[in-house]
Amino acid sequence: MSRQPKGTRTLGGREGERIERCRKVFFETFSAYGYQPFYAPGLQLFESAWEKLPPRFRKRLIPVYTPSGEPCFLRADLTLAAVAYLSSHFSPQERPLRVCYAGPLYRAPIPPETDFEKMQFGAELLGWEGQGADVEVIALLLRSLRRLGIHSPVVVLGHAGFLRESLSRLDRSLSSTLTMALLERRYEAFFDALGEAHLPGGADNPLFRLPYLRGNASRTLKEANLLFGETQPLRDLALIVGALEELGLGENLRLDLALARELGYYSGPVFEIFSGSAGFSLGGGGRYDGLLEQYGIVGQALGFGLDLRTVASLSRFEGPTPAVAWCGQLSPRVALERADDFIASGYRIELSWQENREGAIQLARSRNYGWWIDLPACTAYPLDSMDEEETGC
Amino acid sequence: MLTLCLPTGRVLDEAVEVLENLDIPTLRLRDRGRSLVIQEGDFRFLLAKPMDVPVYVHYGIADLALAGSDVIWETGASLVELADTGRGVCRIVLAGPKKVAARFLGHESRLMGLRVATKYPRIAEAFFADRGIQVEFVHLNGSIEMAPRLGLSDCIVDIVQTGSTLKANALSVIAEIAPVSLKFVASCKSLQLAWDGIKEIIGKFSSSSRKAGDEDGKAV
Repeated sequence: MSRQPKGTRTLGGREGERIERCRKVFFETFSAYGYQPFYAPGLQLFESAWEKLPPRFRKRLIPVYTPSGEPCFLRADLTLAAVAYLSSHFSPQERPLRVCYAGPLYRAPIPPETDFEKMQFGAELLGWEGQGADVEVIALLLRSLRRLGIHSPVVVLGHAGFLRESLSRLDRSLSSTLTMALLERRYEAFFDALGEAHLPGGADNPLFRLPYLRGNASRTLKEANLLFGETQPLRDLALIVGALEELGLGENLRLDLALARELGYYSGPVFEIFSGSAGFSLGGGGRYDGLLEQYGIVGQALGFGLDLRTVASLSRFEGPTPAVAWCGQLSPRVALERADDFIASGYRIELSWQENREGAIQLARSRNYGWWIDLPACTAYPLDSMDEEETGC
Repeated sequence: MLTLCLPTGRVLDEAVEVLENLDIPTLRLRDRGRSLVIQEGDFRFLLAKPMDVPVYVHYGIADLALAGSDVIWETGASLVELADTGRGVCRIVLAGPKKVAARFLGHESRLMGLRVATKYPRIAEAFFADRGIQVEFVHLNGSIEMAPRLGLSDCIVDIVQTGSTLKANALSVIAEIAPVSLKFVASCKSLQLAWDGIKEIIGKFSSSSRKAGDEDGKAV
């Protein structure tokens, strides 16, 4: 028996197939819009990454040493590697720059989760400040999910700048207590702290409505404008919502103006992705500038990461029909040529070279395939009835 | 339909009272027999061990739940704390016999290697780790109070309501770790995708707390 490290898993069979399909759809959708595939090393140097990682992240790193004695950690984040790559391999004149990536990430799990290895797909768009960038990334993300047959994906939009502005007039300690409560999603603690602060207007202070500002995008924006005035972050969100609605993606949108995602890291619109069939967020992202500054880049970037395994588990797609093709006495050349004909007409073929015809049928049954192909006779049979169905060559 | 997870055991009756105050139908819940999944009106109730309730919410199986703050902390579940019901109030404490309590008054070097019995290993670990004290944990699932008396541990980390069980086992409170109460929580997904239904319940929660004049019942 070969044991595997706790917290890791081998992904194969149907699950492996689904993950690969999802990866392919994401890459196809994003690379068609100029996002270049990017492969980062599996290790990151402590000295280059430590200061750039959000503090809550640092406790979850898994340290290792390279054979040359350099202290590193297993890749915990792909954004960092993507920004480092874009800032060092391209000149400022080449921006905006787009990359997409897929690969494993390693972070100490937070219970009740147990896996420390996750597969992630992500994309980053660096160097474009306008809303076009937000709309582009969110629209491509939703298109990919739809292509994967994921039932009604929902993007929940918030704005780091809106939260920061709303809390900025409070004293620093109260503001940080409220921020932490929102970050940890402890709304009860948020209201307790607000109540104890005796703010002007008492319970009518707009901040008491903040966790209620969620749901339908247009309705929420309207209420937020009435309570907080038409601030720049709300105008940003209105433009993004309007553009996504024009693209026919309105039903996939919700707003949550109390959405806090690493407030020190994100600077503008942020989002999380949900699907009715999954219990938790599939991933999320947003606009950031601080990280770029640390790489000497003035401007903003936008990115997201999705848990590929969760997305794969929700995906529904009609792939090619899997079948075992019996080669009989055919020469390999003829067998492969005939198999090509079946593949062209929508089959995924597994060749069976055994002489025994029954053995090939059994193999198809053991694989739970619906079809069996007799290549010498150029005929496909459904396994449940064995009625002759299709001639493919 | 919203799915609500409730803790079994002694806190269940209090949880059912909270639901009644929210005008949530509880007739079948009161007459549940051995059923663990009960459907009534627009609600489906799941009955689970208290420690498992946050896990059902974390994975989005339950949209809402009533869960103790102790088990929320211990499980580390990712969920949204909407309100404090003011019910199931107790404390999570470090307790021990007098001679062990006396050691806590001196230098921390006297505490190294203590053996601590608890059913809350995460909370206990966080408490001692924050103070730089290296201890050994014995994970038990119940009757924690008898562990020091029988020599299984030096002290315990457990919940205390009146303190009478501690007293009966010759233990006293050495340190308060955190207050505990029954919280009204939601799954991160449901808060976004089932907000209209949840908002309605939260609204009822606020008004029922005001009606009851319950100062401890802090509602959203």
